[in-house]
Amino acid sequence: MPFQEGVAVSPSAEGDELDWLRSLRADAGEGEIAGGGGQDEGMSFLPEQEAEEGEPDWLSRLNLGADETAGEQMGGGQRFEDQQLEQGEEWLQRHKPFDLDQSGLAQEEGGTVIPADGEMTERLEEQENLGNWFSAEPASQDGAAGISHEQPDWLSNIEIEQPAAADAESFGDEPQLFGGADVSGKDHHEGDWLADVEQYDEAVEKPVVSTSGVKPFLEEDLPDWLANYSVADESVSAGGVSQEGEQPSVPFEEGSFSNWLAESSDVEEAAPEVHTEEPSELSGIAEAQLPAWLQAMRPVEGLPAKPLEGGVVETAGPLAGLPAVIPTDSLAAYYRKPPVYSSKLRMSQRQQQQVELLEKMLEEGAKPLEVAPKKRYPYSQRIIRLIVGLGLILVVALIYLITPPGMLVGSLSPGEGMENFSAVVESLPADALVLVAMDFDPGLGGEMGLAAIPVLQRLIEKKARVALVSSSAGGVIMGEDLVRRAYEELGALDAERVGGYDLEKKVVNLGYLAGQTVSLQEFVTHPMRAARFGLYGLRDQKQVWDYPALQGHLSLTDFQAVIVVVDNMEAGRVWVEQVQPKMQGVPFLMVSSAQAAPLLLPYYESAQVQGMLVGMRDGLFYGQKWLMPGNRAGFWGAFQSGMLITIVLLLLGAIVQLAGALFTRNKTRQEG
Amino acid sequence: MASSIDLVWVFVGFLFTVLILSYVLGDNPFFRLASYVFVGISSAYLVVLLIYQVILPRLVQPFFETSSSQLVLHLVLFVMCLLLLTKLSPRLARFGNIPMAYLVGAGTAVVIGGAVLGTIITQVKATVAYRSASAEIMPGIRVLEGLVILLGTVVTLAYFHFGARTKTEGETPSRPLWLEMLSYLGRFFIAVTFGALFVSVYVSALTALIERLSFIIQSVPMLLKGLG
Repeated sequence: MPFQEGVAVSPSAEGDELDWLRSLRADAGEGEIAGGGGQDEGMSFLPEQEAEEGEPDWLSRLNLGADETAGEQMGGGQRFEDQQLEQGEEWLQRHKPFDLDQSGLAQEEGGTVIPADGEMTERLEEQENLGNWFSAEPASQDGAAGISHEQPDWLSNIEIEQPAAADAESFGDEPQLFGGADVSGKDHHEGDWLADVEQYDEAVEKPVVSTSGVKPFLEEDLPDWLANYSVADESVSAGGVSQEGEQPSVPFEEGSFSNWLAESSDVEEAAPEVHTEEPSELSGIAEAQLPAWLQAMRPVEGLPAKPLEGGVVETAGPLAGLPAVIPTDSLAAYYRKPPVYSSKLRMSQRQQQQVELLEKMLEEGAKPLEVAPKKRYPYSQRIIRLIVGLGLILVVALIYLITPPGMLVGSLSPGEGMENFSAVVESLPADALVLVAMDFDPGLGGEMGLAAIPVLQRLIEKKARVALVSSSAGGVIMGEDLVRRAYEELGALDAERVGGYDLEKKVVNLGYLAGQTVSLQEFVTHPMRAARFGLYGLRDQKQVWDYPALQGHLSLTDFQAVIVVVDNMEAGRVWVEQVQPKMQGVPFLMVSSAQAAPLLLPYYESAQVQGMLVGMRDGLFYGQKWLMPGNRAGFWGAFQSGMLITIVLLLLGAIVQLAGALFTRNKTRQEG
Repeated sequence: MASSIDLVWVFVGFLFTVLILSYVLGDNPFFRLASYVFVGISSAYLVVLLIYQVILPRLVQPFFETSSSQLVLHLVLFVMCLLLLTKLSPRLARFGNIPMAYLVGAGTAVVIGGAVLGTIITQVKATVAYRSASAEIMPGIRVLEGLVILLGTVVTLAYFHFGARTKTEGETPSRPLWLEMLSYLGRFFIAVTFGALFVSVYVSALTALIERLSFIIQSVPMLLKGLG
């Protein structure tokens, strides 16, 4: 509802305005009393001093215009005002000019807190700028104070109909300043005058000209008097009247004021004087004089519409002495609990099953393992280990010692791989160039020596030229040592068999190929670059390919055979994968340790390796076949005895464990 | 007649062999002494080997070559090696990523190419065209061997199939019955395989022991003769 703050439409101008008041009274008597058109007492009362001294011209014009407009459009509201004029002359005298310095706030009868100082000055200035259009504005009708003093019947009914829970509901919806007058459209049954409050709030918060025809209430829900007023309001809006600066009468309930506001009822009737006089006085005060902190501390916007019972009384600052001004303690009660959104994860049944399976696995993994109690044996583990170890050593050594050196190895037939190996070696021509890769570590040097030395002795016997190479650091030296031992042992057995074989000329060490797989790839494709100096090239200041053993041979295909001596599966696999495919039909042989043989045998089975000699057993058979030196019978006897002892120990252990388990079970049954 | 130098080295070999075999009594200072000496000698040997077999011939020597093209190539390699040294410093380690990327990329390519061409394809072909000496004598054996190989391959793969599903909601996921049976049979083949591997490792160890005992047995009279 349009309301002009500080409008000088006052019955105090009774002396000068008798004519229009009389006419107005006459019109009001003819008009229909509208419930929502309560008069704003602030508009109705002016200090009697000013009334006596006379009214300013502008005020007279405003009164005249307002009366005319009110007389035309708001008969009910004006009628109420006239009634007050008639009946309120006594209490009108009691009103005194409101002293702004007392609280810093001017309070209007309707419960609307009017800010003082700068904001008040702004509003008053806006009113001054309203100009002539203001005279066409209908006078405000509503006012809680007016209701309290003398209420018309319709307004009393409205008060009765307002449920107390309505306010609580409005508070519960969302915190609102001046929330005591909940003006939401859904609550229009509580009092139609609440629509005025809504318009006021919008006008205060958004001082924008609103000429839209949007109505807060449905047309059919409006009472007649409000419907009439709506028509008048629309006519005003259509006439370009800005709602800026308009202040509706705020018909708050009496109990909806803050305590301090209610207590200041003595001075609230002087508010109209503030509206009329302060503009001239406050306009001279510069806004900059108000400190920023005070500006921020003003409780105007933070005051709750409902009194805060038991609120904290401010003890310092400009709000000292005012209770429940800053609703910090009970602020949480004004806010609604935030909505709870479902966070349930949507998943299919299959996904759910997988999750359950994963959870189950994690649960099982998290369970601590039950540590079996340490079994107490009547004998020490250390003693058993000592007995087994020493027994094995003694038996093996004893068998080795007692076996005659010239005794033949057992009747076990050699494997197919060894036979093919021997056939390939025997097929080599005299003075053949053989590449021997020594890829084993010193740890298994004993076994590899027993397997490879007979082969090297056979090569020496065949006057083959041997080129040693290794992708293992230890194999470089170990290979040379094997060749030297083979030569010496064969020479010790029969010097004629090594006659004319010069190690310096027949054997060359290509050195160490760093990088294993990559270096082997380079060695196959660019052997002269990969093994440029060999093991002694830097010492001798010449490339390895200039040694007598390799003269005239510049590629791997010039070798008549390749023999790889390996003690582990990885080294053998790399040689087969990287070198064998590039050898273009050159025989590819392998001497393997026993532990690597099971994983390397498939390469022999697939014919990628033409011959394979495995471990000590094949080496002994190969040496026996070609009558190589060495105590083969001793080695083989020791090996057989060692294996026999191992099998016996395994069987004994299994029997003891089985017997222990049966004994434990029987004991448990008897105890149970 | 062994020279005095040979006797010294035979004695050293004998001594360290006994020290290592003393582990049968448990961990003791003699065994640890021999182990530390072996580690130290191996490290020193490796350093010397790398200097004389890698750094000097492949990194330094090329700079004395007369060919300018080779000189430029080796200069690039030299810079790459220097960048690789920056891996020693956490602050500069990122500069070593370039040669590391080159090494890893090239090495991976070589390994994969060799594995595919040298192992996978050839082994599949060999499995299909399996042959054995016994099969040539008894043709029926060939069929039996092929079936065993096929069965072993299938059941071993079935053992490593860990997929499971539930028939009804709330039931513990489990593999189908037929897959469980194949898996159980696969465990048998895997156990035989690991058993064979273990025996092979044990044979190698026993052979090394026999070789060392043979060395000791042969060394004692040699040392006694040398001392005498």
